[in-house]
Amino acid sequence: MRKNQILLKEPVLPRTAMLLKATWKKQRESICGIFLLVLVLSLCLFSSLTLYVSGKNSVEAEMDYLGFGDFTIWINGEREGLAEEIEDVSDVEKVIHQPLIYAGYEVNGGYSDNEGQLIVYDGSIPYRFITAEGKELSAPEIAQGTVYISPAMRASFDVETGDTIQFELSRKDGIVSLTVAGYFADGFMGSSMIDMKSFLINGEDYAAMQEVISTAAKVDVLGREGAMLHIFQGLGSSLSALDFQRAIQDGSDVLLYTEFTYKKESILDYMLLLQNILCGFLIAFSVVLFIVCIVVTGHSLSAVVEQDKKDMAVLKTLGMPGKEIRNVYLMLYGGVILTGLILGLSFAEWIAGGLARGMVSSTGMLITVKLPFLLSLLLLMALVLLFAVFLILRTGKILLVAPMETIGGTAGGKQVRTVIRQRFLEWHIALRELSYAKKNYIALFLIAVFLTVFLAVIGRMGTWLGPNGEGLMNAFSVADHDLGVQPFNRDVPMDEIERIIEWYSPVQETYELAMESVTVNGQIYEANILNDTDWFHILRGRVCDGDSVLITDTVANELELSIGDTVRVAANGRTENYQVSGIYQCANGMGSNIGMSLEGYSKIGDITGYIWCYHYILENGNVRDYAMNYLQKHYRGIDVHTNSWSGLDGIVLMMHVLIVIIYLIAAVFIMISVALISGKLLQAETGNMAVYKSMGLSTARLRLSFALRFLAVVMTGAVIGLLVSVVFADGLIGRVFRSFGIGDFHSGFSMMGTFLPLAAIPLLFFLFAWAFSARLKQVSIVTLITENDD
Amino acid sequence: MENKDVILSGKEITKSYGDNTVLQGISLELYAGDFTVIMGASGSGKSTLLYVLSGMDKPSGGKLCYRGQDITNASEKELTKLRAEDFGFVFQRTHLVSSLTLKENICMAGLICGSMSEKEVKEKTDMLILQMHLKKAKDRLPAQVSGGEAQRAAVARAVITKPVLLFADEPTGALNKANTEEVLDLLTMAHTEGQSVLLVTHDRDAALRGNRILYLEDGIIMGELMLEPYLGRKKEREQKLASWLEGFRW
Repeated sequence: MRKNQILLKEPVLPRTAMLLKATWKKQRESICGIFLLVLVLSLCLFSSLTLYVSGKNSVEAEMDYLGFGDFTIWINGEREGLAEEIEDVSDVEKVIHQPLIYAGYEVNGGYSDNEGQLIVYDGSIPYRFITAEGKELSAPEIAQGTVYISPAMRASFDVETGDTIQFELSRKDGIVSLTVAGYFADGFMGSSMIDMKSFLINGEDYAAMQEVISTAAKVDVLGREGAMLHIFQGLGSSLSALDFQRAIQDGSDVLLYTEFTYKKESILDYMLLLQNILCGFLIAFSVVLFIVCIVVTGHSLSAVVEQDKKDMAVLKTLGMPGKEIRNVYLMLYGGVILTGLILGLSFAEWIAGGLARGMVSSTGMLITVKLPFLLSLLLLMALVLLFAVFLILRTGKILLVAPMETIGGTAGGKQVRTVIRQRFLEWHIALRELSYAKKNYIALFLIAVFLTVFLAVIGRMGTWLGPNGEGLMNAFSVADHDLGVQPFNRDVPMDEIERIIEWYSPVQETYELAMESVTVNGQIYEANILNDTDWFHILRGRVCDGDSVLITDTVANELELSIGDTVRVAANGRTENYQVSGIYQCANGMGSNIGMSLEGYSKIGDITGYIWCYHYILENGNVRDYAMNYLQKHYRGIDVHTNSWSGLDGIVLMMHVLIVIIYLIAAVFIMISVALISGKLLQAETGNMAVYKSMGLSTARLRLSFALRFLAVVMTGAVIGLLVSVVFADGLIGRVFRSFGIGDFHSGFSMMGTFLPLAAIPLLFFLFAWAFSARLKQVSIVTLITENDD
Repeated sequence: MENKDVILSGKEITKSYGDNTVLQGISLELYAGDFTVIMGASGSGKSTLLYVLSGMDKPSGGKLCYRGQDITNASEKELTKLRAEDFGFVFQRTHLVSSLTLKENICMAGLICGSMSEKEVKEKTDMLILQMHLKKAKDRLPAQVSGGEAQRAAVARAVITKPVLLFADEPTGALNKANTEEVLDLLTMAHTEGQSVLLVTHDRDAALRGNRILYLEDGIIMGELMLEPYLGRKKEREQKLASWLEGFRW
């Protein structure tokens, strides 16, 4: 009391400083815990945000640097004056013509599903040359017989400097081998998400390849010449992207030569698919962490106010205003929260840089990491504001502390409803404590619910993805299959190939697929043509026939179409009207494709030639890779593929890494939360614990009982979290996936996806509570006599 | 005295807190069936002696034996077993578990001990509730009952397991006269039923319940008074104790 009187004689500032010091001394454990929580939140949020924004800016800047226009058309063959013809279209600012050779290739025993694009490096397009780790090197002279590749090929084909890549240009003596000399940053095809890959080669090698193609017999030719036309829209042009493309198609012959077309946005989406998934989840997880921070801070403040109530009451009786006491708590908690946020922000660039370096083999280029200053500042201010409002509301209780009521104590009108039984005594004591002080466990419950919902969502994504990425395979493929074989000439012995496939596994079903470029209402899309339309993944409506087509959600949105509408589909100079019979799922090309029947396509398209790919469903799908490898090794002039692509492994790996990262962060958060909550609970219950000890209840049994409280509350929260995730997760993920062209998301049940969060979260809470309750060992029965004189 | 069994003995017991030595080499023996009272002024070290003898606090020096076994350095596990089965405690402040009703507080000690079945514990609890006049308050939480009711429940909790030795530290210190009598009656009853009691008090009336009085001053036992010979002679007991205490300027 004397101390307090002295305190109140002091002027306000030193008095507050004295109180600040005393409160810090008493509450430093809680305050440090909250600081750590906020720091983890800040690191997670700002580094993922930095990576996200830097990735987008970096790839966009790289595309601009390399001359990728508003969209790029890959053309087949060379047509004199085509670029100029396009340039004459009124809204076109310029066209950059970049010649290339398309050729299939083999590297380290693996065949690419897509053709490589061989480009001469002569310095006119300023490609950046980098190490496998993304460090920039000075531009080299590309020596004859060597090739520079994207570092993403290390992930896809395990290719290293010094390895040989064989490009197939002609069936007869037309294989050109080039040695990998290094890596370059490919701003629009570098990502492991894009199977089309560019190769930079020497001008003499390029000329030799042109020679091989031009001199080979027509039936033997495998490679072909083509070009990329990077088209820039004029600054003054008011046309939409769609109308701009239509204007180019109408004003030139480009459609006759088009292989495929990609808008800048589509390429950006592809290039950034991996880091967008990673950042998206980390940002969403940060939101969960923010909620956990708020919950834990709220709990901690309530406990602190409860614990210090008597001191506050005494100070009030001595005339110290409640506002002044509150300010001390606001300064302490607000101070550490602000410090944690700023510290996290200052390390964000460094962590994002590390992540970017680790992702070079996926992104194909080193993302230049730069903290988005303005966005970060705004976000920081928003967080500070949210925390400040929360702290002001929570510390309002201090103003309400009534001196005499607090000092005198209240009897309370609590009722207990649980029973105490000898069997499983620890469990019954735990339940009693829970029912006696429910309020103290609301924070735990909420944390459990939020963490479980999030981890269950991640788990459901993992389940959908499958151990080998089956979920994505099915989402991106036109129709399910184990093996696809596309012959490129009549010499391919398909009967023999089918016998070989049958030798590996009996074939259950077979159908044929062709992928051809068409325009729908003037917009270029890829048409997936099936001879058996039942294989399309229909989401809504019905399968197509000779008079109708299927569209994806993406096309429906882009062209504002719905089922029943009529569309104008054109190919090879022929146009026909079709009705939209349904919406189907195929995320290929970010969903920019339509589905047609053989009968329907034959009205406009040329179905002669080798456009068909034979798809096989095997009785034993596990042998598909063996069959593929055999066929690739022994037959030329065919493309053999499974329902997969080289970048898929990257996604599966990243998903696994993401799950591990998120579980690790969750574990750290759980540890800090349990430390804070258990610390407050044990502090409040020291007396009860000592009494139990005096009755002969061992420390081990007390600890078990204490940890069981956490288990019971968290298990309840986890079950509710799991139910919430069952109800809402698919819809939530589906909404996000739609932006990647995946219109239908359904995750099934799995032990890992469903029960891992349900088991891991309560177990982590239980174990940490057990560990932190070790301080019960120090609880001495002497505590009970500390207030006695002797 | 020779024909009584020694249940607890301390030899040269010292207890210091930093430079402050509270117990200065105390040697004493507690006998089976005795109601021993430790008296002394505030700060004399009587509560400290009780907690050291009961194994709740470690002595700084000396030796402590329970039924011939050295428990000076007994492990926490061994002490827990002693507390559950052989020792009972009554504190000055009731120290009931705040989340348990009075009945459950009493019951809990029996359940932890494990020497009785749950049914037996419940029967014994009901009996003690009747004896302690706690029928009305039994289902209330400690914060909802009077100090007297809480202390009676604390005594009931201490005796439910029929401990060999009951330690009571100023159990009536915070009670009014009526409640004090009731609590002392309960301790006397436990003693009558064969339990040994070690009571720390500075209340003469409370001390009169004992048959052996020890006087502590500055951590040293200054004297010992046997009241057994005056059994049944209340006035003489009171006079004897008064004159004995006068010798210590009490």
